[in-house]
Parts: sequence; C-alpha cells; structure tokens
Amino acid sequence: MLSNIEKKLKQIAKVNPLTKAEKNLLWAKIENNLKQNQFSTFFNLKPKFAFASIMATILIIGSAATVAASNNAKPGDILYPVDLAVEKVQLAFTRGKRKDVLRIQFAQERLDEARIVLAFAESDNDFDIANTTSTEQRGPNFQRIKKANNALNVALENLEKTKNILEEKGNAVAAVAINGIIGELTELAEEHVADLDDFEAGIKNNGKTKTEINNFRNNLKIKFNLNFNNNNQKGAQGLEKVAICHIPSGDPDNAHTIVIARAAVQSHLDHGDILGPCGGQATSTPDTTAPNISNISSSVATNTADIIWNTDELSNSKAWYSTTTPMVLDSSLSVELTNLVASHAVSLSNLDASTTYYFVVGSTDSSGNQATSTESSFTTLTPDTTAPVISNINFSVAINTAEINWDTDEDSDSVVWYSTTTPLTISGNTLFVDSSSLVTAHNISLSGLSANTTYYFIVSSLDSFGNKATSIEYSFTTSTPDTTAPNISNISSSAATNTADIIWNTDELSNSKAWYSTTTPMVLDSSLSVELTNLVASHSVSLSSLNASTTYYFVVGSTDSSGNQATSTESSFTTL
Amino acid sequence: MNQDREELNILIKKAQNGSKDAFKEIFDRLNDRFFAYTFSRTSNRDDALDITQETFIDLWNSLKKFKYKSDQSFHGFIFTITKRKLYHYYKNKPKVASLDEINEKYLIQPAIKQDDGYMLNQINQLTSNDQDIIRLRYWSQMTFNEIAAVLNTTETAAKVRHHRALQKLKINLNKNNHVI
Repeated sequence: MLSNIEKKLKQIAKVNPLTKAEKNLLWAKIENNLKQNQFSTFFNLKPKFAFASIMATILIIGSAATVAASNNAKPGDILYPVDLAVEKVQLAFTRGKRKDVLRIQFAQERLDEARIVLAFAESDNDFDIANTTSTEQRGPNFQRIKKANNALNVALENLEKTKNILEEKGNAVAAVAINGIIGELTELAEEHVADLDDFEAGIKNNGKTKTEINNFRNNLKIKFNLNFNNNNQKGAQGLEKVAICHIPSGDPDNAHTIVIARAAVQSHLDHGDILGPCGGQATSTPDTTAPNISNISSSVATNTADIIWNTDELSNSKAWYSTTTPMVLDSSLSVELTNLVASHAVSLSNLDASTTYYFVVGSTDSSGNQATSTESSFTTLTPDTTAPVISNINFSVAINTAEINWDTDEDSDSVVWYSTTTPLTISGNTLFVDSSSLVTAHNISLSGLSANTTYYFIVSSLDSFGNKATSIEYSFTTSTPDTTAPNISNISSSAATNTADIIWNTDELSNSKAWYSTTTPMVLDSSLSVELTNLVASHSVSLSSLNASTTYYFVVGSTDSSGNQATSTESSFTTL
Repeated sequence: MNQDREELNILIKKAQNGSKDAFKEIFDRLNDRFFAYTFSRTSNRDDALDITQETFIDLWNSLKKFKYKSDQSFHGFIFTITKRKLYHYYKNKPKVASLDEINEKYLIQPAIKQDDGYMLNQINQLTSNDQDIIRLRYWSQMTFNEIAAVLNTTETAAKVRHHRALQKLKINLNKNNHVI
C-alpha cells in the first residue's frame, strides 16, 4: 500500500537529525565566514551610516575580510572611504622611515586606481553615447565618465595632502617621488580631458550632457592646472601637446581635430587617427575671414551658466566673464574649448548666486582668425531654500502590497518609510522604498507586506537643492487573504460518442478542472484530467478521446486566484 | 501579526541589511530541513554538514540578490544554492558507489536497519527528479506548495509527480519481493 511506503519514508527520514551540538558548531562555522559585504543595501542607506557601520566592523571585529575587500576599492566606490581609513590606521601603527615608504606606496596605489577607473570610463564610451539625444539615455557610460572625473579629483587631493605632509616633515626625497606620481596623474588627466573633448563632440542635441561634460573638463583643467587660459598647445606642466585628426570608428565623416598629450598619441594612431589637424593636406588659399558669431544666448542656474552661440565656420569656443563692466578681456576669467565646432556651448561654473555677470564670447577658426562678440549679461538664480509641499497623499492596499501616491509642488525624489510599529522613527534599520527620479507626482510600491497587518508610513521628498519635506505618519492595513473556496453548482454533462462536455458554475472567478475515470471511487491524483487556467464563473470543459458506450465518472474542481480549491462530488455520464 | 515569530520576509530584509541575528534566526528555522535533504543526498554526515555550512554562507553572500515573493520562493532560492553545492560535491566524488559501499554507510549508523538501507538504495535507483520529490517531501518535510516553488512547477504537478514517484518506488520494491 502506498500509505505504508509514505509511513516508512517518514520514519526513515527522521533518523539521525542534527543534534543541538552539531547545530551550534555549524552556526559557529557559518558565522565565522559571514562577510559584511552587503554593498547594495549599504548603498541604500545614507552613506554616512554605511561608512560608520563598516568602520565599526573594522574596529570591533577587525575583520580582515572587509579590509581586503576595501583595499580594492577605487575612488567613487562605496568602500573607498574605508580604503583610505585603513591606510590611516596602518600609518598610525607604523613608525619612522617605514611610514614614508608606506605613504609613497599608497600614493602609487592612488594613481593605479585612477588609471583603472579611467580605463573603464574610456573603454567604449566613444560611440555608444555619441548618438545619445536625451538625458534619460545618457546611461552607464556617462556615469563612468562622472566616476572617472571623481577618481582624478580624489586621487589628486590625496596625493597633494600626502605631498604636504612629506614636505612639512622635510622628507624631500619622498616629496619628489610623490611629485613624480602627481605628474603621471596630471598626464592621465590631460588624456582624459582630450577624451572628453572627443566625447563631447560626439554628443548630438543634448545641451545638458554637453554642459556637464564641459563642467567635468573645466573642473579638471582648473584642478590640474592644465592648458587653461592660453591657446599655445602647451600644458602648464610643460608637457608637449600634439594636434591629431581624430577619426571616430564607423563614422569617418565626423573626423575632427583634437589636441592631446604626447603620451596619448600612440593609442590614437593605433585606432586609425592621423597625425596633424584634419584637412591639413588641402593647401588652398589661406582663410583670412573670422567666423561670424550669431544667436548668443545664456541659460543660468544658481552657481552655473551655459552660454551658447553659433558660428558660420568651424571654430573653437571661448567665453570671458566678469562681474564688472566694461570688461577687460585680458584680466577676466575665461573658459575655452579647443575643439572646432559650429554650435558652441561653454559652461561657467563656481559662479555666485543672485549675481549679475557680464560676458563676451569668442571663436577662432583653424587659420587663427578670431571673432569676439559684444558684451552681454546674465544674472544667476537665487537658491531655492523652500522645501517641497506634499499634498494628496493616498494609498491603495492589497494583501501583500501597497501603493502610495502623493504630489509635491516642485520636482523632488520619493521615499516611503514604513513599519509595523508606531510611532515610526526613521533610523538605519527602518524599512523604506525610494525612487531617485525627480517628479511632482510620486508613486511608490511596497511589497512583501504581511496580510491583514497595520503598517505606519511616512513619505518624504527631497528637491534638487536639498530641501526636504516629510509628511506626518499615516497608516494602512493590508487586506485579509481570501480563504473561501468557490461554491460549485449546476454541474451537468452532455456526452457524445468519444467526447463529453462538462459545465458548471461557481460563485467567484476561478479556473476549471475536470478529473475523469472509468473506475469508481475515483483517485484524483491518478485520474486523467483536463484543466483550463482562465478564471471564469461559468465553466465548461471538454473531454475527448473517450471510449464509446462507456460509463465515465468525473469530479470537477475550481481554484480561485488566492489558491482556494473546491471539488465536487463524483458524477457520471455514459458515452453514446 | 504574530509578534513572537517574525515573518520570514522581515527577517530576510533585516539579514539583507546586514543583521546576523536575523540570519541566525533564518538558519535556526531552516537548518533541519536543508540538512536532512543534503544528508539524504550525500549519505555522509560530515559531507552533509559541510554542504549545509557552505549553503548558508553562500546564502548570506547572495542574499542581496533575493527579492522576496513568498516563503516558498525563499526555500526555492536556498534549494538552488544547495543543488549547486551538491553538484560540485558530486563532481569531485567518484561517480558510482557500489551497493556494498552504500549499504555499509547506512549500516554503520545503528539507527538504520538493513530494511531501511534497502529502501534507500531503491530510492537511489529512481530518476533524480523522482528522488528530489521524495527527499523534499519526507526529508525536508515540505508541503506540496513549497515543493512546487522549489522545483518551479505547479502544486498540482508536484502532487502528481510525487504520486508517480511513490508508485515507481512501490513497483520496484514489489518487483524485488520486498515486503513493506
């Protein structure tokens, strides 16, 4: 008998379970191997909290695993601060000369990290983003560029700090070593700026992305003191610059001149670029006409402004700006982009808020003819210090999910904090769901909720200026699951020679299943069956391949969407 | 909500946020079932302990990838890890153990009678799908709903497969004149 086998199996399976001691030992071994490597969730927490808890782990447990993991962190990675902190701790425990050796070693690591991040940023950015037209499509490559810039900045900051320490201590040899490393980093930055030129030239119709790329570049130029205010194609570090004609792969029509560091020439030649400016071969009449500047306009934010204009021939872009008028160009601040374009966009950053700035734009063509505009002005915006206003909070609940909606009067992100306890206090352990997109109509879905449970929640929205609005506490109660099986009625059957239809009704939507057999009493598990998965109240199931003149027994069953199943008693029909 | 016994989904979320206490609670609830399953597949206690240990360590490391849908889906998630571990275990083991060897293993454990060893051998003769169903049902004491989630099928299909596996087992036992 089957049930005997089942009994026997149950009995055998129970033999030799885990003992209490084994369980304890097992857990001890497991716990020993648990790493605090839940990066993704740390990311969701406020960075400060994540950092604090990682540090706590290091300090309390001294977990070698965390140190090992963080040692591979690169600028911009979540564990990077730990990496730096670990270095500090290591330094603190090291004495004398060895300390400076360690400092140089760490500095070299900074450089290598930056190199790795840049390699990733530049691996395939050329043309995948080049066709990007909207902000939404900027994608991971743009993020990598952002990270690369961050990496350069962070690396430089760290190297200079180290250099200062060494100089203060009077260790000239070590300081020279660090200088060499900074030189290498500067070269990396130069190559990266050249790549950004390249990258920006490839972006079509996206002023915002262009602006941001521009900001990255200007920031690097200032920080690394690169070829900033002059056009002599020499870096401030005296590193030789070379003009080459860059031919984007797959898009030869878009070839354009870029200026790069000598060190980067070989890699460009390797992918088919030509030494010297584009079109250098054509030696026709020298161009003596300056570009014609038109359509100057500016768009301003609190601390930045974009100036855009057109020229009737390819030329570079330069904008001088000042808070005083009339402007003296030679002593004004300026931003210059060396790539030759007809649609110009220059971003000014680090501006003061609520301030009127005067500006002049200029463009120089490849023959050195320069045109400059007359003076214009713009006034930067006053920063927003008003938090968004939250309104129209409403929610809809199901058994295990809830959807929460609210409106804000300005674009802001969305966070819902929730808990089964009240009052709800927001801490690192509070459950939440968030969305970083800035919207005025907010929608957050909670899932994994318990049925028939009261949840308390707070919604919160942060605008782009960092002004936060938080609602009062609300609550909802999740639905109780349906545990009532459908009620089956009106079962009837009509049989033909080899087929039969069975129809019945249920009082709620449910699927349809009919088991059938020529023997009675029926064993459902071993009976033939036909099942229809769509949920209906009027059920009809057709049986086919039946034998003629045979009595069939059948049972019908219906399962509702919550999994409650009803089955009928046995009925029968006889085929013709 | 039952305050004494926290919902599994809450425990998972806490563990995902790095709570080892929550993870310990998960371990306490599930170690019996996953050990029993693993033990039945390896028939060597030390190996089963090792695999269970590795399963839970892997579970911790991959927990962040898990999106809670139901308790069953979580069991399925762990089961997938266990299966992978078992796969590696078998890869590094001689493929076929002789019946004598298997018998010996069972007989060393005094609580298992020779009869039972015979039945276990018969289970080992079934297809691996049939074996899984039986082991999940009796060793891991799963409901059909859970088995369905673990094997990525419907509850009805799980019931049918279970029924057929038992029938096959019964036929094999009868064929060999073994009286249950």
